[in-house]
Amino acid sequence: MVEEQDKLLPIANVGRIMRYILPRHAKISKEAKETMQECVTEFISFVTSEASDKCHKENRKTVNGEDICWALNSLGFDNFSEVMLRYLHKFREFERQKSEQNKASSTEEKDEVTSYELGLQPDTFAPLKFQILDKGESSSANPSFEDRGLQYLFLIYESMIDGYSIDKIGVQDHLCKPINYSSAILCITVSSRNSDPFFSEKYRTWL
Amino acid sequence: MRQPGAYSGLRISGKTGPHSLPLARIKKIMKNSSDEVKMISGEAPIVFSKASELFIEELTKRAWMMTLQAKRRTLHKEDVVSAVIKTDIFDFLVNLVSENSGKSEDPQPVMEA
Repeated sequence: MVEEQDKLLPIANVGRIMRYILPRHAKISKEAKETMQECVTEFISFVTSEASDKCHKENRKTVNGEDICWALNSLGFDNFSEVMLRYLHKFREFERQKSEQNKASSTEEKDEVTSYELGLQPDTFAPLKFQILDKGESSSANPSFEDRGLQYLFLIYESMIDGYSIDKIGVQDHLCKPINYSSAILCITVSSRNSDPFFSEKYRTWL
Repeated sequence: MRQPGAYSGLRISGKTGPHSLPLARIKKIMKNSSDEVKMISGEAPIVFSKASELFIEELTKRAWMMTLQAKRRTLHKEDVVSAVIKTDIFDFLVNLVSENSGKSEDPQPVMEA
């Protein structure tokens, strides 16, 4: 039976994404990658069908980003859905800024805006220092830590930072400047898994 | 601290790069998913590019937990299958992963002479 590879996502990309999130010493069998390749392709089909059904019922011809987010939510991927909505809005903002940039030359932080990567590549990212914005109920010493905040932007669950796990990540726009991702405030709410379950802190960083 | 291995670069420039999934391929898969799909907005494949990463990440993490339980260091297909079976939201994949050939898009039954 001929493998219809062009109907699947490329195995190299799939394998790369898998490797990124596994520990360095982990190995992945070829069959596992192939299975993942099939699963993610089926995921896309599955969600698209749901989204397209909705469009059809509403007499719309075009499946857009929000339909995908809706479908994700409808099919039980509510975590994804929430993240994707934010991602989508950032993307639309980026497109808008891009067209505005074409009119006027940018004055500040042009690098971030032109390269405009919401997350930064590991090799170009400078570590962020987190400052404590709010304190929760525990009075434990508050570690400040450096980390790649943006990497966590879309990593909602089970990320461990020195014994903390991330509860919630949000991005606030800075009020004084025009909406520019490089000056947004990243708020991360973390809680300690180790001891007090009610301990929480908000960390703020300028991006 | 566990190194955040999650995909960090979110390319929304619309181009493919070392960390992105090919948008044209995503679009093709979307079109093939059902006859009802007529038009797809430009942003939809981009949304899927990210959503697919999240998906791979989630399934891989859960599969890796199976690998660890079996005290192995190599993630095998069986770990992916176990993760699918154990997770409710992956129910739509159960048939896909349970087939021996792993192919789900073969509508024609094998005819025996």
